[in-house]
Amino acid sequence: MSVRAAGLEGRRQLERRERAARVFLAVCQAATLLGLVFLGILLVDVTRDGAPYLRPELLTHFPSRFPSQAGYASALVGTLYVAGIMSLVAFPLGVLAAVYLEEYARPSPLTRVLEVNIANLASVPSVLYGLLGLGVFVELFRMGKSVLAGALTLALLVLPLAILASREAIRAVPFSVREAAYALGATRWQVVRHHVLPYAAPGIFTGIILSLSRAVGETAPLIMMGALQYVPFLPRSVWDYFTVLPIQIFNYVSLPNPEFHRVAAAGILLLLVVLLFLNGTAIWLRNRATIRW
Amino acid sequence: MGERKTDRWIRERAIGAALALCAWLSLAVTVAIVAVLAYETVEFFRIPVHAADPQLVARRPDLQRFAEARPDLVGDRGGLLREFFTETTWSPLFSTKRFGVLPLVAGTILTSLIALAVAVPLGLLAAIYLSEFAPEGLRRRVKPALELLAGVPTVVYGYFALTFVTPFLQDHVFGQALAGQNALSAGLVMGIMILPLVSSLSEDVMRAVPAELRHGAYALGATPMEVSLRVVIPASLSGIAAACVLALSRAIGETMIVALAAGQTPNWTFNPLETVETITAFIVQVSLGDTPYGSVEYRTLFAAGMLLFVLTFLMNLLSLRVVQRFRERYL
Repeated sequence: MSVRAAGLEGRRQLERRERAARVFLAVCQAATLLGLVFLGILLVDVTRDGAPYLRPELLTHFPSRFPSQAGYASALVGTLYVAGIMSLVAFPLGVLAAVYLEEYARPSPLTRVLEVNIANLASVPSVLYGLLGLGVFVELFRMGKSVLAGALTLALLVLPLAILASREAIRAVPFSVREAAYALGATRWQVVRHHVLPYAAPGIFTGIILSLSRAVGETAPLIMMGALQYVPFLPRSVWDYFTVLPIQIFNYVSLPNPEFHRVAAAGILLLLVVLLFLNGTAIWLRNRATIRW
Repeated sequence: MGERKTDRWIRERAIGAALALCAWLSLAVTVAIVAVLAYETVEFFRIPVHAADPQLVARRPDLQRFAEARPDLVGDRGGLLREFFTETTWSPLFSTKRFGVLPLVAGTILTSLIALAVAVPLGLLAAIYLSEFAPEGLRRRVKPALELLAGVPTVVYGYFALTFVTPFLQDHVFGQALAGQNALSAGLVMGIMILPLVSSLSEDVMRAVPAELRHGAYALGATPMEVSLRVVIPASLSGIAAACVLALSRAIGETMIVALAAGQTPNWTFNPLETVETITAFIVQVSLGDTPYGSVEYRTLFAAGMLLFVLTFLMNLLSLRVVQRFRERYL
């Protein structure tokens, strides 16, 4: 082969490789877009199905055998109730546990066990928390299938998420803040209480709201809490039966009458609005209140 | 002010102890999960022994039904355990009472593999685009948008798979060969759900690959594609593998999508067009009915739960191992 022919061959090969690179870039772009397109189709589909049923009665009516009468009143109140009690239990515990791990615990094999355990808990399938709640709260502690049992079950589910988020926020507070306070004679708790926690607060709240939105959208573990029963009343005490928004949606989707699927779609829109509000607040908080060191 | 030093010391100690208690509570949760699952699972496998006790059987209608349906198992100590792992019929809720869990395992594996087949290629390509090609401003906007996919409640995906994806595939691709509830739709939608898990984690590790490696490859005349595929991906392989294993673990444990879209009929098959039931969907199915505490049906719930726990736990352990083993090699 002459030198000239070899050069020509080389150029052709280079062109081939560059063309492959261009195609590759396009494929990568398409793959990135595909996820977003999918999300778009989902939203359009749900809106199209649910929009006709988006009326005030949706908020005030109880579940019904007739699609035109069916609503989410008990589910909305149940969600508020369960999420409220869950927050009271899970978030203080989560923040305090995070404070311990970040500010108090010395590196030791035991601490390492705690850390691995929390990471593992965060990836236990949510349906297993339902079995835990069923075995421990509903049966062992005899709470029955009640608001309280459901709230405690969800509290255990979000606890590792709250701990992980709070730890990250606490870790972001620079060490110089702690050193300054210690230098003035503050005790460990005073440093935490008056300096670390106030600075970490925006980050902690962002994390808490995100785990709250995870809990509000959670369905599987509450099915074991009897949340799928027909609940034509508002829960009055923590011992009452209850239902929540995602479960009521699941209930309507499982019914054979396609009209109920539209009621479900309307419920999904409600749920998405609630989640959008929560996540929006979290993002706003992160952008506005986070201190840049 | 004026506070005695010992008082202050005692208070500090008390606060420290209280905080430690909160942290240790998380370990108690794990212990409780394992304890509940283990206890009920052992009781499940002892059902044949209980069914051999006439006094107990007289008091418990569920044991009576078990003894009538399966006289071959009554009194057979390891019989149920053997059947659980080797037989291919699962019908504990029906009068036939067969306890071979393999159909549920097959359904779980089938839907999870379909999900991975969607999430891994798409997630990796998206990660390559975001880490290697996308301008910084675009990356900062697209990444959170992709992560929105992981924030959509799973019951919403279930609705979408059942009322949109399945009818769409029936009308345009498979016709009536595709069952109304099937592994394919559930797996596809689940794949989209776990996509951000693969893409975000992979992108993080790809961006951690030192720029010198890329510069070296470019200096040798490599194209951007060759740099991505032959330098960046091999260098971040441990993180990518860990992300994929975590995604698999999420898919195995996912419940609402499969309960709605894959079906609630145990099916010993690997045909994605058919109805299958996963372990999680079975747990939902039993929970929907009224299962008295301690009954045979109640215990199948926990035996299935234990299996799920072991599977996902192994996956999480594996991803941890993968990261530890291969991390230092490149970074």
